[in-house]
Amino acid sequence: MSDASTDGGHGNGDDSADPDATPGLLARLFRAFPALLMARRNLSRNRLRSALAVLGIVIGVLAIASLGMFGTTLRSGATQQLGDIGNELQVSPNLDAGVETLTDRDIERIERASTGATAVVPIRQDRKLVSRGREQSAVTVYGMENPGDLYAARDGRIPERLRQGAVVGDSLADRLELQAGNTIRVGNRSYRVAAVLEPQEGFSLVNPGSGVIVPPGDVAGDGWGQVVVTAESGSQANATAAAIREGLNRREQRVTIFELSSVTENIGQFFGILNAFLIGIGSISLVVAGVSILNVMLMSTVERRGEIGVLRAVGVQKRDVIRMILAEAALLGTVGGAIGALLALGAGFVLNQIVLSDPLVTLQPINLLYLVLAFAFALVTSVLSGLYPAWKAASSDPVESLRSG
Amino acid sequence: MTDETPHGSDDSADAPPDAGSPVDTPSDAGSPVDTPSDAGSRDPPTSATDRGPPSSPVDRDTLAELRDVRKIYHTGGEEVAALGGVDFAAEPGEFVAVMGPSGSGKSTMLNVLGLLDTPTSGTVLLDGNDVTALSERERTRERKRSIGFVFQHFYLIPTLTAVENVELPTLFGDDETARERAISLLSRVGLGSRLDHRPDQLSGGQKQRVAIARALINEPRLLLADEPTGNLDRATGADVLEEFHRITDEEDVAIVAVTHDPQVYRAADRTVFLVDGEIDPEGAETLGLVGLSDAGGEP
Repeated sequence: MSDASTDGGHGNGDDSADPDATPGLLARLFRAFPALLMARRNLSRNRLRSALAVLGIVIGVLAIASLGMFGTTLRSGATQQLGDIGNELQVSPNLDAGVETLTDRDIERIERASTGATAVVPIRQDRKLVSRGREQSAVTVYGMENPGDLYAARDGRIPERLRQGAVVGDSLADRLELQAGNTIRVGNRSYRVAAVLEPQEGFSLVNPGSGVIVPPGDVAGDGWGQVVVTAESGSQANATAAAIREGLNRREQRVTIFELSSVTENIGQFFGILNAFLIGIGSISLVVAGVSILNVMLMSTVERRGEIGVLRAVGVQKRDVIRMILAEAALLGTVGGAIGALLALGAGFVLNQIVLSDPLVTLQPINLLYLVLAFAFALVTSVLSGLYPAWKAASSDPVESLRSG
Repeated sequence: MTDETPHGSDDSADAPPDAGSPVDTPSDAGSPVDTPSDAGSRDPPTSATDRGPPSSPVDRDTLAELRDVRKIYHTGGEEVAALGGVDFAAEPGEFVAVMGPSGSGKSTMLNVLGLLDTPTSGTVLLDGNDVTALSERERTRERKRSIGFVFQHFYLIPTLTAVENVELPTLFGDDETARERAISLLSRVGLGSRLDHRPDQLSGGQKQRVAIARALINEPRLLLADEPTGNLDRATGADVLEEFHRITDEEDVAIVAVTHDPQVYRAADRTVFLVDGEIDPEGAETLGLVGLSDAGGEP
């Protein structure tokens, strides 16, 4: 042991300290956020395990965001199929207030109020016997001046103003084997068939497919039973409805207005619920991912017991240990969330290309909101899952931790 | 081990009769401790050592001190006294070895001294201040400020480079000069060319030197070592002990090392023997180390 008396000279020989300790940007960043440095290094220690935890988050985010976007696509597709039903209004006399029919003056006021409308079609109706040869049938007879504003013909031409002749609905025409140019009897009058209507698609307030349209003067009664107003869009229909109410219902409730947009609103609400349901299912997968992060963090903190004990021994405070482990969890969540959001965006493009043939629909605000929400949910889930392992690691007695090492 | 009867501190505070033993009992009656609990009851220690100037009633401040420290564990309904009334003091620049059989309470003593553990009763003083009742958070701060640790298993963080490991105690905090200090410390322990090596690229002795540098980064007054040579071969262990001597001499740091290793015993300025949680003045004979005492690598 006499060699020990060479008085501490040993080891100082290769004393070539690198003075090039100018810290790079990354180094300075880590210096500012040491928890991040430790977290990143710790996660790189068991790459496969970290990758699997990230994968869980990716799947969770992908599930939430893409199911949300799937719902949006479903809604857009359904709205397209339902067509323009949201842009029709039906104005009827307010029977509750004793108004039985709408007068010509009412019609004028409705027309004046409907500046944004594409068509205002007053209708009166009755039931009459329609016959051709020996075949006859009791049908609804509509009196309309301008049916061409609402309907299209499959045969013949609908005159701009219907003064004479009749327009026959498609199913009645099929039943009586009618085409333009034929003659029919409606009640006790004879009409030349001017046009046969196209079958109605979707949903409409007045469907004369199994009836016949004749000039209004030929239908009994002096008032109008209803007025159908159409507009360019649902919102314009809404505005028109408000204007009509303002114009006719100010002094007394003369008319009631039925807006189809209330139906579409209900349909929209339904899709909202469907969306929430889909996202709820997606969230379950993210919660599962959170549990897997909890598991990974618990395992890794148990493995690192000794190291954490040393950290505590050399004077690292509990809250810094907590911060470090939470940073690990947050890092897993951030990476997983970002990858998941990107994949979901890609999935949205593919889905909208297939369903709506327009991938750019994916970029609508509601979808971006889903992406952000899914990412935020991933981050929050990860950090919450890291809380218990972090607390457990920080609170374990360093003496115990070091002994077990 | 199951010794739970409180032994009076007077047992251990009695002057060791054997002048040939390197045992040194706490010796600081004259120290300017300003704690109210200053134990006037204790006999003025009369330490007769075989090395160094026979310490006269102390002329230097005591750095760390245990006064009648007991530590009792409750395991399985049984009370086990790991420490049964220990008095101990370390002075700046002193290298003290603590020896004893397994389970004698050495590690517990080191943990209490290092503020990792709190005693069941008794007083712990650091720099003359009573630190027994500090909160967890204050103890952590105090550990960071004035105590360095070296462990048998080194406990370097495998994902950090040598220089980052040395910086570790300063990492959570705003310490501008930590990197420079870490580099200079590593250079001083002869690892200036291995700054960016990971622990798995270093030999055992190099790891322990990194650990020593880590323990010194905050310029502590007290360095506590738990089996510092336990995982090292003889020659490497000698290097580490030499490093310890340099630290005590140049930096005026006190080192307390718990060990089984006779090499450490020979290198230390003095040795305290623990048996069953109490300081045993005749521990050297008990452990059969007497014959070795003269071969000590004393500077």
